Amino acid sequence: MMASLSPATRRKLKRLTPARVFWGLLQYAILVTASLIILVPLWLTFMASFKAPLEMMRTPKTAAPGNWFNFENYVEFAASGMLALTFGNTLFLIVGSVAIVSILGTMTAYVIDRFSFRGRNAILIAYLLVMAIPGVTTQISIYQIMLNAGLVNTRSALLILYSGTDIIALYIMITFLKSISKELDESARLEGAGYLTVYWKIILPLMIPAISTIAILKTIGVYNDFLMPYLYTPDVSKSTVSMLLFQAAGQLSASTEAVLMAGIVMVIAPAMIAFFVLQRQIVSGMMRGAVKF
Amino acid sequence: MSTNTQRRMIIIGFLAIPLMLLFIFSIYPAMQLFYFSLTDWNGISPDKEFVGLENYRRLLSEDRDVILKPLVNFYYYFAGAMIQLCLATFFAVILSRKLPGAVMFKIILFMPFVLNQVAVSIVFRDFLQIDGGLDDVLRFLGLEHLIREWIQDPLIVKWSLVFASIWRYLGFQLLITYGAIQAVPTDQYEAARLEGANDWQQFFHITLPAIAPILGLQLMLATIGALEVFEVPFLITNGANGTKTLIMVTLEEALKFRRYGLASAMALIILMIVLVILLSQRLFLFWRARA
Repeated sequence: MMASLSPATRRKLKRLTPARVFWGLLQYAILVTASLIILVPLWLTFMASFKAPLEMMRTPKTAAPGNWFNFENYVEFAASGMLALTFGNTLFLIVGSVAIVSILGTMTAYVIDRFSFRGRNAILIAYLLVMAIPGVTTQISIYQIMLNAGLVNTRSALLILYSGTDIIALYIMITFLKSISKELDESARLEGAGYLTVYWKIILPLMIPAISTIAILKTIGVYNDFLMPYLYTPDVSKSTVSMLLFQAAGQLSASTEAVLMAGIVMVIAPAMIAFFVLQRQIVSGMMRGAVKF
Repeated sequence: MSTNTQRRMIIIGFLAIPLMLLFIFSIYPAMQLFYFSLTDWNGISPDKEFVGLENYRRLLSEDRDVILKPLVNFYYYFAGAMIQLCLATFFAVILSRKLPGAVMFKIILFMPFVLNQVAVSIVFRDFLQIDGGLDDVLRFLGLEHLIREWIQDPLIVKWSLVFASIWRYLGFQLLITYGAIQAVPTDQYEAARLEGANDWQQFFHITLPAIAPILGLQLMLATIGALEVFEVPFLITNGANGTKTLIMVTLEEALKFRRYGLASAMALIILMIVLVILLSQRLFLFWRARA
Protein backbone atom coordinates (compact mmCIF):
# COMPACT_ATOMS: atom_id res chain seq x y z
CA MET A 1 0.00 0.00 0.00
CA MET A 2 2.85 2.34 0.83
CA ALA A 3 4.18 1.82 -2.66
CA SER A 4 1.23 3.64 -4.23
CA LEU A 5 2.03 6.88 -2.37
CA SER A 6 4.27 9.50 -3.93
CA PRO A 7 7.75 9.76 -2.41
CA ALA A 8 7.03 13.22 -1.00
CA THR A 9 3.88 12.08 0.82
CA ARG A 10 5.68 9.04 2.10
CA ARG A 11 8.44 11.22 3.46
CA LYS A 12 5.88 13.42 5.17
CA LEU A 13 4.13 10.41 6.71
CA LYS A 14 7.42 9.05 7.92
CA ARG A 15 8.13 12.39 9.58
CA LEU A 16 4.77 12.33 11.34
CA THR A 17 5.97 10.43 14.40
CA PRO A 18 4.22 10.87 17.76
CA ALA A 19 7.12 13.01 18.96
CA ARG A 20 6.71 15.32 15.97
CA VAL A 21 2.97 15.64 16.47
CA PHE A 22 3.60 16.51 20.11
CA TRP A 23 6.15 19.19 19.20
CA GLY A 24 3.85 20.62 16.55
CA LEU A 25 0.98 20.93 19.01
CA LEU A 26 3.29 22.40 21.62
CA GLN A 27 4.42 25.05 19.16
CA TYR A 28 0.83 26.02 18.49
CA ALA A 29 0.05 26.09 22.20
CA ILE A 30 2.97 28.44 22.79
CA LEU A 31 2.03 30.68 19.85
CA VAL A 32 -1.58 30.89 21.00
CA THR A 33 -0.51 31.69 24.57
CA ALA A 34 1.83 34.43 23.35
CA SER A 35 -0.90 35.90 21.14
CA LEU A 36 -3.32 35.89 24.06
CA ILE A 37 -0.78 37.68 26.24
CA ILE A 38 -0.51 40.35 23.54
CA LEU A 39 -4.25 40.65 22.94
CA VAL A 40 -5.83 40.29 26.40
CA PRO A 41 -4.67 43.65 27.89
CA LEU A 42 -5.93 45.41 24.74
CA TRP A 43 -9.20 43.48 24.76
CA LEU A 44 -9.86 44.37 28.42
CA THR A 45 -9.27 48.03 27.59
CA PHE A 46 -11.66 47.80 24.66
CA MET A 47 -14.39 46.25 26.84
CA ALA A 48 -13.85 48.81 29.61
CA SER A 49 -14.35 51.67 27.15
CA PHE A 50 -18.06 50.73 26.86
CA LYS A 51 -18.74 50.44 30.58
CA ALA A 52 -20.65 52.93 32.72
CA PRO A 53 -18.73 54.32 35.76
CA LEU A 54 -20.58 52.14 38.30
CA GLU A 55 -20.32 49.07 36.10
CA MET A 56 -16.58 49.74 35.85
CA MET A 57 -16.21 49.59 39.62
CA ARG A 58 -18.51 46.64 40.28
CA THR A 59 -17.78 44.17 37.52
CA PRO A 60 -14.48 42.37 36.99
CA LYS A 61 -12.37 43.58 34.06
CA THR A 62 -12.94 40.24 32.37
CA ALA A 63 -16.71 40.80 32.19
CA ALA A 64 -18.20 42.03 28.93
CA PRO A 65 -19.88 45.43 29.07
CA GLY A 66 -23.66 45.37 29.67
CA ASN A 67 -24.23 47.51 26.62
CA TRP A 68 -21.81 47.23 23.69
CA PHE A 69 -23.36 50.35 22.17
CA ASN A 70 -22.71 52.67 25.08
CA PHE A 71 -20.58 55.32 23.40
CA GLU A 72 -20.88 57.87 26.23
CA ASN A 73 -17.23 57.48 27.23
CA TYR A 74 -16.14 58.18 23.67
CA VAL A 75 -18.35 61.24 23.43
CA GLU A 76 -17.06 62.52 26.76
CA PHE A 77 -13.40 62.07 25.87
CA ALA A 78 -13.87 63.85 22.56
CA ALA A 79 -16.14 66.56 23.99
CA SER A 80 -13.47 69.03 25.07
CA GLY A 81 -12.27 69.24 21.46
CA MET A 82 -8.72 68.46 22.58
CA LEU A 83 -8.77 65.09 20.88
CA ALA A 84 -9.51 66.64 17.49
CA LEU A 85 -6.95 69.38 18.12
CA THR A 86 -4.14 67.01 19.12
CA PHE A 87 -5.01 64.65 16.27
CA GLY A 88 -4.68 67.63 13.94
CA ASN A 89 -1.31 68.54 15.46
CA THR A 90 -0.09 64.96 15.14
CA LEU A 91 -1.20 64.79 11.51
CA PHE A 92 0.47 68.12 10.79
CA LEU A 93 3.73 66.85 12.30
CA ILE A 94 3.58 63.56 10.39
CA VAL A 95 2.87 65.17 7.01
CA GLY A 96 5.33 68.02 7.62
CA SER A 97 8.21 65.86 8.80
CA VAL A 98 7.72 63.23 6.08
CA ALA A 99 7.74 65.98 3.43
CA ILE A 100 10.79 67.76 4.83
CA VAL A 101 12.78 64.58 5.47
CA SER A 102 11.97 63.29 1.98
CA ILE A 103 13.15 66.46 0.28
CA LEU A 104 16.23 67.07 2.43
CA GLY A 105 17.07 63.36 2.46
CA THR A 106 16.93 62.90 -1.31
CA MET A 107 18.92 66.11 -1.84
CA THR A 108 21.61 64.98 0.59
CA ALA A 109 21.71 61.50 -0.90
CA TYR A 110 22.01 62.92 -4.43
CA VAL A 111 24.95 65.14 -3.61
CA ILE A 112 26.73 62.68 -1.30
CA ASP A 113 26.39 59.69 -3.62
CA ARG A 114 26.66 61.21 -7.10
CA PHE A 115 29.33 63.86 -6.61
CA SER A 116 32.86 63.58 -5.36
CA PHE A 117 34.13 66.71 -3.64
CA ARG A 118 36.42 67.75 -0.86
CA GLY A 119 34.84 67.20 2.56
CA ARG A 120 32.58 64.40 1.37
CA ASN A 121 34.21 61.79 3.59
CA ALA A 122 34.24 64.17 6.53
CA ILE A 123 30.48 64.64 6.15
CA LEU A 124 29.89 60.89 5.97
CA ILE A 125 31.97 60.30 9.09
CA ALA A 126 30.14 63.10 10.90
CA TYR A 127 26.80 61.46 10.09
CA LEU A 128 28.04 58.05 11.25
CA LEU A 129 29.35 59.49 14.51
CA VAL A 130 26.22 61.50 15.19
CA MET A 131 24.09 58.42 14.53
CA ALA A 132 25.89 56.73 17.42
CA ILE A 133 25.01 59.51 19.87
CA PRO A 134 21.91 58.50 21.82
CA GLY A 135 19.27 61.17 21.19
CA VAL A 136 17.98 61.21 24.76
CA THR A 137 21.29 62.41 26.16
CA THR A 138 21.59 65.54 24.03
CA GLN A 139 18.02 66.63 24.79
CA ILE A 140 19.44 68.41 27.83
CA SER A 141 21.24 70.91 25.63
CA ILE A 142 18.74 70.90 22.77
CA TYR A 143 16.15 71.99 25.32
CA GLN A 144 18.23 75.12 25.99
CA ILE A 145 18.47 75.87 22.26
CA MET A 146 14.69 75.62 21.92
CA LEU A 147 14.20 77.74 25.02
CA ASN A 148 16.51 80.47 23.71
CA ALA A 149 14.81 80.40 20.31
CA GLY A 150 11.44 80.83 22.02
CA LEU A 151 10.20 77.60 20.48
CA VAL A 152 9.21 75.69 23.62
CA ASN A 153 5.48 75.04 23.53
CA THR A 154 5.20 75.46 19.78
CA ARG A 155 4.50 72.86 17.14
CA SER A 156 7.53 74.19 15.25
CA ALA A 157 9.86 72.81 17.92
CA LEU A 158 8.53 69.30 17.32
CA LEU A 159 8.50 69.74 13.54
CA ILE A 160 12.14 70.88 13.53
CA LEU A 161 13.26 68.00 15.73
CA TYR A 162 11.30 65.35 13.85
CA SER A 163 12.58 66.53 10.48
CA GLY A 164 16.03 67.84 11.32
CA THR A 165 17.52 65.17 13.55
CA ASP A 166 16.53 62.01 11.70
CA ILE A 167 19.99 60.86 10.70
CA ILE A 168 18.80 57.27 10.25
CA ALA A 169 16.42 58.43 7.50
CA LEU A 170 19.28 60.20 5.76
CA TYR A 171 21.38 57.09 6.05
CA ILE A 172 18.63 54.91 4.52
CA MET A 173 18.34 57.39 1.64
CA ILE A 174 22.08 57.44 0.96
CA THR A 175 22.36 53.63 1.09
CA PHE A 176 19.34 53.31 -1.20
CA LEU A 177 20.67 55.66 -3.86
CA LYS A 178 24.04 53.90 -3.74
CA SER A 179 22.28 50.68 -4.80
CA ILE A 180 20.80 52.32 -7.91
CA SER A 181 22.91 52.39 -11.05
CA LYS A 182 24.19 55.77 -12.21
CA GLU A 183 23.37 55.00 -15.84
CA LEU A 184 20.10 56.92 -16.03
CA ASP A 185 21.28 60.16 -14.51
CA GLU A 186 24.63 60.03 -16.30
CA SER A 187 23.02 59.63 -19.72
CA ALA A 188 20.61 62.46 -18.93
CA ARG A 189 23.62 64.63 -18.08
CA LEU A 190 25.20 63.72 -21.43
CA GLU A 191 22.03 64.80 -23.19
CA GLY A 192 22.43 68.19 -21.59
CA ALA A 193 20.10 68.09 -18.61
CA GLY A 194 21.11 70.37 -15.71
CA TYR A 195 21.76 69.02 -12.23
CA LEU A 196 18.46 70.35 -10.91
CA THR A 197 16.55 68.66 -13.73
CA VAL A 198 18.38 65.40 -13.09
CA TYR A 199 17.48 65.59 -9.40
CA TRP A 200 13.87 66.48 -10.01
CA LYS A 201 13.12 64.29 -13.05
CA ILE A 202 15.30 61.24 -12.37
CA ILE A 203 16.65 60.96 -8.83
CA LEU A 204 13.45 61.89 -6.99
CA PRO A 205 11.20 59.41 -8.89
CA LEU A 206 13.84 56.68 -8.52
CA MET A 207 13.87 57.19 -4.77
CA ILE A 208 10.15 56.73 -4.21
CA PRO A 209 10.65 53.28 -2.57
CA ALA A 210 13.05 54.83 -0.06
CA ILE A 211 10.65 57.72 0.52
CA SER A 212 7.80 55.33 1.27
CA THR A 213 9.99 53.43 3.73
CA ILE A 214 10.80 56.72 5.47
CA ALA A 215 7.13 57.72 5.43
CA ILE A 216 6.19 54.51 7.24
CA LEU A 217 8.98 54.78 9.80
CA LYS A 218 8.26 58.46 10.45
CA THR A 219 4.53 57.99 10.79
CA ILE A 220 4.99 55.24 13.36
CA GLY A 221 7.73 57.22 15.10
CA VAL A 222 5.90 60.53 15.33
CA TYR A 223 2.50 59.06 16.18
CA ASN A 224 3.90 57.01 19.05
CA ASP A 225 6.63 59.29 20.40
CA PHE A 226 6.34 60.55 23.94
CA LEU A 227 9.71 62.07 24.91
CA MET A 228 9.71 65.02 22.48
CA PRO A 229 6.12 66.15 23.12
CA TYR A 230 6.70 65.73 26.86
CA LEU A 231 9.83 67.88 26.83
CA TYR A 232 8.97 70.53 24.26
CA THR A 233 5.19 70.94 24.36
CA PRO A 234 3.91 70.64 27.94
CA ASP A 235 0.93 72.69 26.73
CA VAL A 236 -1.33 69.94 25.41
CA SER A 237 -3.09 72.21 22.89
CA LYS A 238 0.24 72.53 21.04
CA SER A 239 1.08 68.85 21.35
CA THR A 240 0.29 65.38 20.03
CA VAL A 241 -2.17 62.68 21.07
CA SER A 242 0.56 61.21 23.33
CA MET A 243 0.53 64.28 25.56
CA LEU A 244 -3.26 64.34 25.61
CA LEU A 245 -3.35 60.78 26.94
CA PHE A 246 -0.52 61.55 29.37
CA GLN A 247 -2.42 64.51 30.79
CA ALA A 248 -5.71 62.59 30.95
CA ALA A 249 -3.97 59.72 32.75
CA GLY A 250 -2.57 62.19 35.28
CA GLN A 251 -6.03 63.55 36.12
CA LEU A 252 -7.51 60.08 36.42
CA SER A 253 -10.18 59.31 39.03
CA ALA A 254 -12.23 56.15 39.52
CA SER A 255 -15.22 57.66 37.75
CA THR A 256 -13.29 58.70 34.65
CA GLU A 257 -11.30 55.51 34.12
CA ALA A 258 -13.66 54.20 31.45
CA VAL A 259 -13.48 57.57 29.66
CA LEU A 260 -9.70 57.30 29.54
CA MET A 261 -10.04 53.78 28.13
CA ALA A 262 -12.24 55.20 25.35
CA GLY A 263 -9.54 57.76 24.64
CA ILE A 264 -6.94 55.01 24.42
CA VAL A 265 -9.09 53.03 22.00
CA MET A 266 -9.53 56.11 19.81
CA VAL A 267 -5.77 56.71 19.72
CA ILE A 268 -4.86 53.06 19.13
CA ALA A 269 -7.61 52.17 16.65
CA PRO A 270 -6.40 54.21 13.65
CA ALA A 271 -2.88 52.80 14.06
CA MET A 272 -4.19 49.25 14.33
CA ILE A 273 -6.42 49.58 11.27
CA ALA A 274 -3.62 51.15 9.24
CA PHE A 275 -1.31 48.38 10.41
CA PHE A 276 -3.62 45.59 9.32
CA VAL A 277 -4.28 47.20 5.95
CA LEU A 278 -0.64 48.02 5.24
CA GLN A 279 1.07 45.26 7.20
CA ARG A 280 3.10 43.98 4.26
CA GLN A 281 4.55 47.42 3.51
CA ILE A 282 5.05 48.25 7.17
CA VAL A 283 6.85 45.00 7.94
CA SER A 284 9.22 45.32 4.98
CA GLY A 285 9.74 49.03 5.70
CA MET A 286 10.61 48.30 9.31
CA MET A 287 13.05 45.61 8.27
CA ARG A 288 14.82 47.95 5.87
CA GLY A 289 14.94 50.65 8.54
CA ALA A 290 16.18 48.31 11.24
CA VAL A 291 19.38 47.37 9.49
CA LYS A 292 20.95 50.72 10.16
CA PHE A 293 24.37 49.66 11.34
CA MET B 1 27.12 79.24 -16.24
CA SER B 2 30.01 76.85 -16.47
CA THR B 3 29.49 73.22 -15.45
CA ASN B 4 31.93 73.65 -12.60
CA THR B 5 30.04 76.57 -11.11
CA GLN B 6 26.81 74.64 -11.51
CA ARG B 7 28.36 71.68 -9.75
CA ARG B 8 29.58 73.80 -6.86
CA MET B 9 26.21 75.52 -6.55
CA ILE B 10 24.28 72.27 -6.40
CA ILE B 11 26.64 70.78 -3.82
CA ILE B 12 26.49 73.84 -1.59
CA GLY B 13 22.81 74.51 -2.20
CA PHE B 14 21.66 70.98 -1.50
CA LEU B 15 23.85 70.41 1.55
CA ALA B 16 23.47 73.79 3.26
CA ILE B 17 20.26 73.09 5.20
CA PRO B 18 21.00 69.43 6.11
CA LEU B 19 24.47 70.34 7.37
CA MET B 20 23.14 73.33 9.28
CA LEU B 21 20.59 71.09 10.98
CA LEU B 22 23.28 68.48 11.68
CA PHE B 23 25.40 71.12 13.36
CA ILE B 24 22.69 72.91 15.36
CA PHE B 25 20.80 69.87 16.63
CA SER B 26 23.42 67.14 16.83
CA ILE B 27 27.03 68.35 16.96
CA TYR B 28 26.57 71.61 18.84
CA PRO B 29 24.33 70.04 21.56
CA ALA B 30 26.92 67.32 22.16
CA MET B 31 29.63 69.97 22.55
CA GLN B 32 27.40 72.06 24.79
CA LEU B 33 26.70 69.03 26.91
CA PHE B 34 30.41 68.76 27.59
CA TYR B 35 30.68 72.46 28.37
CA PHE B 36 27.64 72.42 30.72
CA SER B 37 29.09 69.40 32.51
CA LEU B 38 32.08 71.53 33.54
CA THR B 39 29.90 74.21 35.16
CA ASP B 40 27.59 74.52 38.15
CA TRP B 41 24.79 75.97 36.02
CA ASN B 42 21.18 75.62 37.19
CA GLY B 43 19.66 75.88 33.72
CA ILE B 44 18.06 79.32 34.17
CA SER B 45 20.45 81.83 35.70
CA PRO B 46 22.42 83.93 33.18
CA ASP B 47 25.75 83.16 34.85
CA LYS B 48 27.39 79.83 35.36
CA GLU B 49 30.64 79.18 37.09
CA PHE B 50 33.33 76.96 35.62
CA VAL B 51 34.00 74.17 38.10
CA GLY B 52 36.18 71.85 36.04
CA LEU B 53 35.65 68.19 36.71
CA GLU B 54 33.80 68.81 39.99
CA ASN B 55 30.52 67.30 38.67
CA TYR B 56 32.29 64.13 37.59
CA ARG B 57 34.10 63.91 40.93
CA ARG B 58 30.79 64.24 42.78
CA LEU B 59 29.21 61.52 40.64
CA LEU B 60 32.05 59.20 41.60
CA SER B 61 32.03 60.04 45.31
CA GLU B 62 29.30 61.69 47.40
CA ASP B 63 26.60 61.68 44.71
CA ARG B 64 27.47 58.14 43.66
CA ASP B 65 24.00 56.87 44.53
CA VAL B 66 22.39 59.09 41.90
CA ILE B 67 23.94 56.83 39.27
CA LEU B 68 24.33 53.56 41.17
CA LYS B 69 20.68 53.25 42.24
CA PRO B 70 19.22 53.44 38.74
CA LEU B 71 22.06 51.25 37.50
CA VAL B 72 20.44 48.35 39.38
CA ASN B 73 17.52 48.69 37.00
CA PHE B 74 19.87 48.47 34.07
CA TYR B 75 20.60 44.87 35.09
CA TYR B 76 16.91 44.04 35.03
CA TYR B 77 16.41 45.52 31.58
CA PHE B 78 19.57 43.82 30.39
CA ALA B 79 18.32 40.48 31.70
CA GLY B 80 14.99 41.30 30.09
CA ALA B 81 16.74 41.99 26.80
CA MET B 82 18.39 38.55 26.98
CA ILE B 83 15.06 36.86 27.63
CA GLN B 84 13.54 38.86 24.80
CA LEU B 85 16.31 37.85 22.41
CA CYS B 86 15.83 34.16 23.23
CA LEU B 87 12.05 34.44 22.86
CA ALA B 88 12.37 36.36 19.60
CA THR B 89 14.75 33.75 18.17
CA PHE B 90 12.48 30.93 19.32
CA PHE B 91 9.40 32.49 17.70
CA ALA B 92 11.32 33.43 14.56
CA VAL B 93 12.49 29.84 14.14
CA ILE B 94 9.07 28.25 14.55
CA LEU B 95 7.34 30.91 12.45
CA SER B 96 9.80 30.47 9.59
CA ARG B 97 8.70 26.83 9.25
CA LYS B 98 5.66 28.05 7.33
CA LEU B 99 3.16 26.31 9.56
CA PRO B 100 -0.47 27.21 8.87
CA GLY B 101 -1.39 30.54 10.45
CA ALA B 102 2.23 31.68 10.78
CA VAL B 103 1.51 35.02 9.10
CA MET B 104 -1.30 35.77 11.53
CA PHE B 105 0.86 34.99 14.56
CA LYS B 106 3.66 37.13 13.17
CA ILE B 107 1.30 40.08 12.75
CA ILE B 108 -0.15 39.71 16.25
CA LEU B 109 3.27 39.47 17.88
CA PHE B 110 4.57 42.48 15.98
CA MET B 111 1.50 44.68 16.45
CA PRO B 112 2.34 46.21 19.87
CA PHE B 113 5.35 47.89 18.30
CA VAL B 114 3.19 50.19 16.16
CA LEU B 115 0.91 51.24 19.02
CA ASN B 116 1.18 54.55 20.86
CA GLN B 117 3.66 54.42 23.78
CA VAL B 118 1.50 56.34 26.21
CA ALA B 119 -1.67 54.42 25.34
CA VAL B 120 0.04 51.07 25.78
CA SER B 121 1.65 52.18 29.05
CA ILE B 122 -1.69 53.26 30.51
CA VAL B 123 -3.15 49.94 29.40
CA PHE B 124 -0.40 48.19 31.37
CA ARG B 125 -0.68 50.48 34.37
CA ASP B 126 -4.34 49.48 34.63
CA PHE B 127 -3.63 45.87 33.81
CA LEU B 128 -1.04 45.49 36.59
CA GLN B 129 -2.88 47.58 39.19
CA ILE B 130 -4.22 46.00 42.41
CA ASP B 131 -7.55 44.44 41.34
CA GLY B 132 -6.62 45.38 37.79
CA GLY B 133 -6.95 43.36 34.60
CA LEU B 134 -4.29 40.77 35.37
CA ASP B 135 -5.76 39.98 38.79
CA ASP B 136 -9.22 39.58 37.25
CA VAL B 137 -7.83 37.33 34.52
CA LEU B 138 -6.14 35.14 37.15
CA ARG B 139 -9.40 34.97 39.11
CA PHE B 140 -11.22 34.07 35.92
CA LEU B 141 -8.79 31.21 35.37
CA GLY B 142 -9.07 30.09 39.00
CA LEU B 143 -5.47 31.02 39.75
CA GLU B 144 -6.17 33.52 42.59
CA HIS B 145 -3.20 32.26 44.57
CA LEU B 146 -0.86 33.73 41.95
CA ILE B 147 -2.10 37.29 42.49
CA ARG B 148 0.66 39.66 43.61
CA GLU B 149 1.10 43.40 44.02
CA TRP B 150 2.51 43.68 40.51
CA ILE B 151 3.64 47.28 40.61
CA GLN B 152 3.69 47.98 44.35
CA ASP B 153 5.99 45.19 45.48
CA PRO B 154 9.56 46.48 44.91
CA LEU B 155 10.78 42.95 44.16
CA ILE B 156 8.15 42.25 41.52
CA VAL B 157 7.65 45.65 39.90
CA LYS B 158 10.99 45.48 38.05
CA TRP B 159 9.98 42.25 36.37
CA SER B 160 6.53 43.68 35.63
CA LEU B 161 8.17 46.55 33.78
CA VAL B 162 10.50 44.17 31.98
CA PHE B 163 7.42 42.21 30.97
CA ALA B 164 5.71 45.36 29.65
CA SER B 165 8.85 46.19 27.72
CA ILE B 166 9.13 42.70 26.19
CA TRP B 167 5.43 42.85 25.33
CA ARG B 168 6.09 45.95 23.27
CA TYR B 169 9.44 45.20 21.63
CA LEU B 170 9.48 41.41 21.16
CA GLY B 171 7.79 41.59 17.75
CA PHE B 172 10.35 44.03 16.41
CA GLN B 173 13.23 41.75 17.31
CA LEU B 174 11.29 38.76 16.04
CA LEU B 175 10.96 40.48 12.69
CA ILE B 176 14.69 41.16 12.34
CA THR B 177 15.64 37.62 13.35
CA TYR B 178 12.96 36.24 11.04
CA GLY B 179 14.46 38.23 8.17
CA ALA B 180 17.89 36.80 8.94
CA ILE B 181 16.54 33.25 8.97
CA GLN B 182 14.81 33.80 5.62
CA ALA B 183 18.17 34.73 4.13
CA VAL B 184 19.66 31.31 4.93
CA PRO B 185 19.73 29.25 1.69
CA THR B 186 17.15 26.43 1.89
CA ASP B 187 19.36 23.88 0.13
CA GLN B 188 21.52 23.78 3.25
CA TYR B 189 18.55 22.40 5.19
CA GLU B 190 17.73 19.96 2.40
CA ALA B 191 21.26 18.59 2.46
CA ALA B 192 21.24 18.30 6.25
CA ARG B 193 17.90 16.52 6.17
CA LEU B 194 19.16 14.02 3.60
CA GLU B 195 22.01 13.25 5.95
CA GLY B 196 19.48 12.61 8.69
CA ALA B 197 19.97 15.73 10.83
CA ASN B 198 17.03 16.39 13.16
CA ASP B 199 15.46 19.80 13.87
CA TRP B 200 17.75 20.54 16.80
CA GLN B 201 20.85 19.68 14.82
CA GLN B 202 19.62 21.79 11.93
CA PHE B 203 19.07 24.73 14.28
CA PHE B 204 22.44 24.48 16.02
CA HIS B 205 24.53 23.71 12.94
CA ILE B 206 22.84 25.80 10.23
CA THR B 207 20.41 28.42 11.53
CA LEU B 208 22.31 29.59 14.61
CA PRO B 209 25.69 30.14 12.91
CA ALA B 210 23.94 31.91 10.03
CA ILE B 211 22.04 34.36 12.23
CA ALA B 212 24.80 34.80 14.83
CA PRO B 213 25.96 38.17 13.42
CA ILE B 214 22.40 39.55 13.56
CA LEU B 215 21.96 38.20 17.08
CA GLY B 216 25.23 39.84 18.09
CA LEU B 217 24.08 43.13 16.64
CA GLN B 218 20.76 42.86 18.47
CA LEU B 219 22.56 42.02 21.69
CA MET B 220 24.57 45.22 21.36
CA LEU B 221 21.51 47.30 20.52
CA ALA B 222 19.67 45.71 23.46
CA THR B 223 22.50 46.64 25.82
CA ILE B 224 22.34 50.23 24.62
CA GLY B 225 18.56 50.15 24.81
CA ALA B 226 18.71 48.94 28.42
CA LEU B 227 20.84 51.99 29.27
CA GLU B 228 18.35 54.34 27.64
CA VAL B 229 15.09 53.03 29.08
CA PHE B 230 12.75 55.90 29.85
CA GLU B 231 9.16 55.72 28.65
CA VAL B 232 8.00 52.38 30.06
CA PRO B 233 8.91 52.98 33.74
CA PHE B 234 8.18 56.71 33.56
CA LEU B 235 4.65 56.17 32.31
CA ILE B 236 3.77 53.05 34.31
CA THR B 237 5.24 53.75 37.76
CA ASN B 238 6.76 57.23 37.38
CA GLY B 239 9.84 55.84 39.09
CA ALA B 240 8.05 54.71 42.27
CA ASN B 241 9.28 51.66 44.24
CA GLY B 242 12.84 51.92 42.97
CA THR B 243 12.14 51.84 39.25
CA LYS B 244 13.94 55.04 38.23
CA THR B 245 16.26 54.58 35.30
CA LEU B 246 19.42 56.48 34.38
CA ILE B 247 17.65 58.62 31.80
CA MET B 248 14.79 59.42 34.19
CA VAL B 249 17.23 60.53 36.88
CA THR B 250 19.22 62.60 34.39
CA LEU B 251 16.16 64.46 33.10
CA GLU B 252 14.96 64.91 36.68
CA GLU B 253 18.29 66.41 37.78
CA ALA B 254 18.15 68.87 34.91
CA LEU B 255 14.51 69.91 34.75
CA LYS B 256 13.28 69.34 38.31
CA PHE B 257 16.25 69.78 40.65
CA ARG B 258 17.85 72.36 38.38
CA ARG B 259 21.29 70.81 38.58
CA TYR B 260 22.04 71.24 34.92
CA GLY B 261 25.78 70.80 35.23
CA LEU B 262 25.46 67.53 37.09
CA ALA B 263 22.78 66.27 34.68
CA SER B 264 25.00 67.12 31.71
CA ALA B 265 27.85 65.15 33.25
CA MET B 266 25.52 62.17 33.70
CA ALA B 267 24.24 62.43 30.12
CA LEU B 268 27.80 62.60 28.86
CA ILE B 269 28.77 59.49 30.84
CA ILE B 270 25.85 57.58 29.28
CA LEU B 271 26.82 58.90 25.85
CA MET B 272 30.41 57.77 26.34
CA ILE B 273 29.39 54.27 27.46
CA VAL B 274 27.19 53.93 24.36
CA LEU B 275 29.99 55.14 22.10
CA VAL B 276 32.43 52.66 23.66
CA ILE B 277 29.98 49.79 23.15
CA LEU B 278 29.39 50.77 19.51
CA LEU B 279 33.07 51.30 18.85
CA SER B 280 34.10 47.96 20.32
CA GLN B 281 31.50 46.25 18.14
CA ARG B 282 32.94 48.01 15.10
CA LEU B 283 36.46 47.01 16.07
CA PHE B 284 35.33 43.44 16.66
CA LEU B 285 33.79 43.28 13.17
CA PHE B 286 36.88 44.87 11.65
CA TRP B 287 39.17 42.45 13.48
CA ARG B 288 37.08 39.45 12.43
CA ALA B 289 36.97 40.59 8.81
CA ARG B 290 40.77 40.71 8.80
CA ALA B 291 41.29 37.42 10.59
